[in-house]
Amino acid sequence: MQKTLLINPKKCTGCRTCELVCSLEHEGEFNPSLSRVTMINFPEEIVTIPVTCFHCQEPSCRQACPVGAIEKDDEIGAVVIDDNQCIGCNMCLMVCPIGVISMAGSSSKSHHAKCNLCDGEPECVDFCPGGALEYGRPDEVLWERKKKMAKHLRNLLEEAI
Amino acid sequence: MSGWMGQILRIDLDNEQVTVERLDRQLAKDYIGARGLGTKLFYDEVDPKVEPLAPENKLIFATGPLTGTAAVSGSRYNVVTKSPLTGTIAASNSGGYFPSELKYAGYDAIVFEGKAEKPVYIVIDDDQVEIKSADNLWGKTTLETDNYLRSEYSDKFKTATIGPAGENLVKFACIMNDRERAAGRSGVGAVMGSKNLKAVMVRGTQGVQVANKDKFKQVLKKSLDKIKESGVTNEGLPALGTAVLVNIVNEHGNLPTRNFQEGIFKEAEQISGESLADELLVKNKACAGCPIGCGRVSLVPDGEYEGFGEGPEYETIWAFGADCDIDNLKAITKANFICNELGLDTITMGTTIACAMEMYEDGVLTDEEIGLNLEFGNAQAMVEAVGLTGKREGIGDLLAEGSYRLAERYGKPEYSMSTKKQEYPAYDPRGSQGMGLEYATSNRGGCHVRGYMTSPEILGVPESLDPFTVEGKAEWTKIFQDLTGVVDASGICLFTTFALDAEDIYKLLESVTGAGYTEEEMMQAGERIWNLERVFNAKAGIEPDEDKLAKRLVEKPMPEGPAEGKVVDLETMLDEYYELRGWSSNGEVTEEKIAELGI
Repeated sequence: MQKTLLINPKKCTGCRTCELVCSLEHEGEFNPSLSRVTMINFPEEIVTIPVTCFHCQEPSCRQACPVGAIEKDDEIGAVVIDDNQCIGCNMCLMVCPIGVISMAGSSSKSHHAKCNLCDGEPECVDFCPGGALEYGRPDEVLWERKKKMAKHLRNLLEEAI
Repeated sequence: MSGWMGQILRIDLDNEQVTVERLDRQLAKDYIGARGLGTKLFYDEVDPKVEPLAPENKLIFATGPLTGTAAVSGSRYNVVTKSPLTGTIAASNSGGYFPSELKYAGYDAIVFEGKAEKPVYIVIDDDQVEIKSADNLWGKTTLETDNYLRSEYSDKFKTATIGPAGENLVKFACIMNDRERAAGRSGVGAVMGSKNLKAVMVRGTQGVQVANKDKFKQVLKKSLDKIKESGVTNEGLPALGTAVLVNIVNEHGNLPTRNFQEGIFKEAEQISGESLADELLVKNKACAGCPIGCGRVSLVPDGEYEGFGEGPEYETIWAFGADCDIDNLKAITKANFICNELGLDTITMGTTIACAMEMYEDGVLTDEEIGLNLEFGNAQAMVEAVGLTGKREGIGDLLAEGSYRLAERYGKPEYSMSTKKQEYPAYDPRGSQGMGLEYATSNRGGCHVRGYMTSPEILGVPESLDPFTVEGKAEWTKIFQDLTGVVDASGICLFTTFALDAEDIYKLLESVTGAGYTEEEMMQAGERIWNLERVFNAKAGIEPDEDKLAKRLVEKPMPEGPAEGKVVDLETMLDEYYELRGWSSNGEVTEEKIAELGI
């Protein structure tokens, strides 16, 4: 089964480590504005949620790309832009419903900044201290969540009986 | 440059002039950044005799080379100025997101000078810097100000702001960034208020460079592993926040109670980190790049102390709790929220109320005079006093001067539990001798984060020391003080040192900056920072005979508990400390030391 990136906002402490290690990996510097994952902060409620490419099954960016530079890599589950083919028309950026494609670099040497799941070993997942980001087969990740909930239900039932 | 951004922003509020200067590479290496770099810039530019609230005093926001990086907890900045509370150098440290954003906008530091004619705020959007009228924000709380600024511009901006306390020149007003992180101590918010500077907002799109990316990642992994292996950083702090200390310090008989009259608070359990987690905690919150996440988000859902926000920290719980003989955690949390909104340092606020409570108990302060029943244990009066202080109304006007000036006004300075007019935090040094030396010699007055001797004396980290002996404490204190200087200057959080040692920090610093440090040079930079602060204080008129403790701590034996019968043997430790520092026998920094460190 194809792996996928799963976000668990309840575990996010808002530390932004994901943004820092992402920009280091892909841009060679610490720069959240170029990170492929963005921590969105709701300060009044003190809630933070990491947002990144959902690697859609039917990616609108792929549909919109006039030169066919965007493909879904079935092995790692990532929607990937081929920089060699990309002509920089920004169509993908315009149609992405999640808003997770942006431009990086100077105007003469720019490239798209979009999550490629680090070729199957996402740095953000590796470094996330709270475990808010997970990468794996969805059935396995969700199985762990189900098990946790089942344990909780079991305790409740045992208490009640 | 790697690590550093290489630019200093200078904002002249008198003439509304904004200039950008290059950061000198050697200066950066010698003083690292944040507390070190800020102090060096300040020392070179400001007359030490300056009146703290005069336009000639400057206010410096300084980040470190690790600020804005993924180096463990690299989220910090320091606000450096001359303190209106102590008359010493002030360097107040805060995390959150604002400090990193300042780096992303391209600056290592901002120097604010002069005084705006009318209230202003500053908008920094990468290289675009504007000074705007803050007429409509003056009088607003910190949260209202942050709400307004983000809604008016973009919520991508990070803010640092003062509340009414800073505007009213409360001597221990703080600067709040990202709503509820505080550059808390020594009244840096009052200096900002004296400049008619309400807020600074910043947004940036530039990157912090890394000299050796592969090496950095390797060092980071190792550092994160150590954080995970430490009971303090992986269990205590995440689970219970800094309030994990309430029960631990109380069990050692070191939790100052009723203005340091006692060392055991019988109701400690009710105000402990455990109770906070059970009753009020909503979730944990981390500063940028932090794997620990000691921040608390708390909710008091209803009743007279209703509120929601960040905190309370250990020191806050203690100051409004044990020190005021108050066991109502909701009232303590409410007092914390009010401090955050008005922009008050919770430690000096709580301890000043505790001081007033003892004066009230002894009849020095009377009902008629203060219009408030300030009996020990009166939670309602405590909460009311906090609000009055931020607004300088009624008794609040007296409390706004801090405990030392309050007590001195009545001819009884001995009621103030302070050194160099800054109040002690939550550790009674009679049961932690090294902490006594640290309080006495701290360059910003009573303070726990200049050389946290509680760590070896109470927590047993990095090794366990007998808290009651003075033996070896001078050397430990010196090393802790110098290392803390390095940590503060680098831009990472002091809490990392529960798990990381000097070598780990050195490797992080060197892999990011590539500045060619040796570990010895790095530690010497810490010593340089410490001595520079000391030299500034001497020129400001703070003499070595101010390296002392409140009489109670050196004369009156602890009445009960594990530290029963103890006083602080300060003199013995001081003599040894001065010698280890290479200062004169009466504590003056010698010309030889100044030359050796190249100050």
